[in-house]
Amino acid sequence: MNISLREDRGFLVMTLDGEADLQHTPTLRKTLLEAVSGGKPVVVDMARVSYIDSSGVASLVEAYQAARKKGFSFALAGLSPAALRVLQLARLDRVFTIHATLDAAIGD
Amino acid sequence: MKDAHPHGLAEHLDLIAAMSLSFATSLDLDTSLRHGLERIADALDAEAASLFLVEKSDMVCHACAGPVDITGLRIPAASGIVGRTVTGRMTQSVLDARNDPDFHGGVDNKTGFITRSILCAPMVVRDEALGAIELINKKSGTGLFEASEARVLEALAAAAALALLNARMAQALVEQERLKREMELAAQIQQGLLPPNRPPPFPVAGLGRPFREVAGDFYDILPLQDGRIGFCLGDVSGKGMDAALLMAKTASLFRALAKDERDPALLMARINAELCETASQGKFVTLVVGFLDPSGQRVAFANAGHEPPLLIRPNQPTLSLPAPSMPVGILQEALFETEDVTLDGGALYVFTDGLTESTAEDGAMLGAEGVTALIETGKNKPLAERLEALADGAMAPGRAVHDDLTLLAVEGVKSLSAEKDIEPVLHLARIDVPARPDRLKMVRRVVTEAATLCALPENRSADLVLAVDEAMQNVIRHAYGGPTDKPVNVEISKEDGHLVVRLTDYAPPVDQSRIRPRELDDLRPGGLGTHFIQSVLDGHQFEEPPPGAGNRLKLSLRIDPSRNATP
Repeated sequence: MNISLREDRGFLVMTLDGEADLQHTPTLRKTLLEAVSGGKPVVVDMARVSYIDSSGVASLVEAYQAARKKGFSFALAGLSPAALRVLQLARLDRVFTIHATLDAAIGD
Repeated sequence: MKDAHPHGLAEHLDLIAAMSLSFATSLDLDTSLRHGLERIADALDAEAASLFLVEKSDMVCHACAGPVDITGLRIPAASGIVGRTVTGRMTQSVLDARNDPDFHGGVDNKTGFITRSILCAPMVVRDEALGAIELINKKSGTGLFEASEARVLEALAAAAALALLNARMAQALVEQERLKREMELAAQIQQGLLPPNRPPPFPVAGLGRPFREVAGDFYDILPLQDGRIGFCLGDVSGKGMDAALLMAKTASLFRALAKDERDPALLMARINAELCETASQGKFVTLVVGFLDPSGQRVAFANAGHEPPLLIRPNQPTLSLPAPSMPVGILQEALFETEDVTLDGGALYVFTDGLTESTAEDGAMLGAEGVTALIETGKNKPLAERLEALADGAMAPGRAVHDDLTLLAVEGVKSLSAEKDIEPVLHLARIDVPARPDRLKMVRRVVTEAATLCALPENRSADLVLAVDEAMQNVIRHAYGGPTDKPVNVEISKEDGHLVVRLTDYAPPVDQSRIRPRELDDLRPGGLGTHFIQSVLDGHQFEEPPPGAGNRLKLSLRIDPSRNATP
């Protein structure tokens, strides 16, 4: 899985590409936690995430909680139906702020 | 004439008669008492009058006449001259209240009214003092109320007391009648909710014998269009109207939601969420919901805090299946588990604790063993009759039932498909991988391909892949205690209409009772994964591992082209 970071219109955009599974969780978790400590609102672009498992979901939850503690927004964007299904199974689809697309997340 | 005073009792007989009649026939007692009080004050030449009634440990002024309105005034029951009258049930005549140690001068102090003489008679009926009528300041003559006037007031106070008692009894009767009608209505509604039993060989039957008019128990049986038969049985905490309403609500939720929720645990979660949304003052429901699958051989059910159902099968030990989850209606976030059982020609019995807690003369409870024995004696009877016999057994002479008795049984039928040639097991793939996260992707690919071979729809395939992946993670993390090069065998086959994945590891055997889905706020890795597995699969169980292996987990998903995606 590839992870890239960039700034866009005041947001820190973190783009994930690939399968967010146990193999990549340590890197994903570390990068997410660094991103939310950067003092900017964070959007995770998940349009290219074809698979996510419970460990990936747990990393997102941890980052979400850390961002909330610091008072910054943390949103997910562009979830595939498969990824959304996993969040629904975890009953987290109403916990996260979820945007249909990245543009919807950072546009004004 | 013995009475020295010219205005004797006889002269007030008309007043006493008129007032007694007015009190006795009054539809609005408060108004009658107020008007009556004015007439009494007038006839006995008093400046003011008040009527106090005992309410718990206080006395409250319900009516008054005169310059100061003290209606609603509340004083401690034992205080003042009114208190003395009520406590001693003796008429009190006071010449100058200010010299009386019991006089409560609070009203005078506040209003500037000056109380001098007082005549206060108790409202006594059947030896009970309900209150007192107090006259204040005789306007004429010596300023003191005469003994004859005391007799008149006593007679009036007694008439008022009797009228009051009658009014209260009438009100209690009306209330009682209303409650009775309410209970009858509730009982009717409840009877309407219980489904009639269908003739054999219909495989699910129930029975309800309320202990009181309105039961806190219920069950329902719901044949579904896809061939499954849904069932539920519940016990609402508490009794009476509240419990009956909660019962009706839970029963209708089951009816409404069972049609489009295949997984009992998810169905239970939805019922729970709905119940929690409209919190019902600490009331909760222990509930079993489940489905008999169309083959008539397998039952999937979820148990929320209910008495353990019994699985009784020929030539197998009876299984008591305790609830893994809390009752519904308590915690919005509660999660539930689905238990899959094969009936093998036997039956699953679900019942309320009214059955197991029925007692013999020596106080011994029937218990699960007693229930099993009773079922055994009636085992050749048709299902519905067997339940009747079971209930009769619990209520046999010498035994006592202390609660509603509600029973339901799901019996294995010889299905048509079972008589057909059983589809042979079709092996699809086997790979052995080291128990390491970087091999998970490979396993997912193989499972995906197998799902495609079986024409599983894409969303069902994704569910299976997720479940296998999570189970693999559990093996890596919990069975092996971390990544290792030790192997996991992944075997995929098609069996009896299911896509089956078996994972075999060589770790020490795990304690299966410790494998539980997560609570919502519990984000330990294993818990969420186990929750995923339980949510998406049609079956998952540990099997006897082959020699030398540690654990073998069987994961299965039904192959059904017509099946809709789970929500």
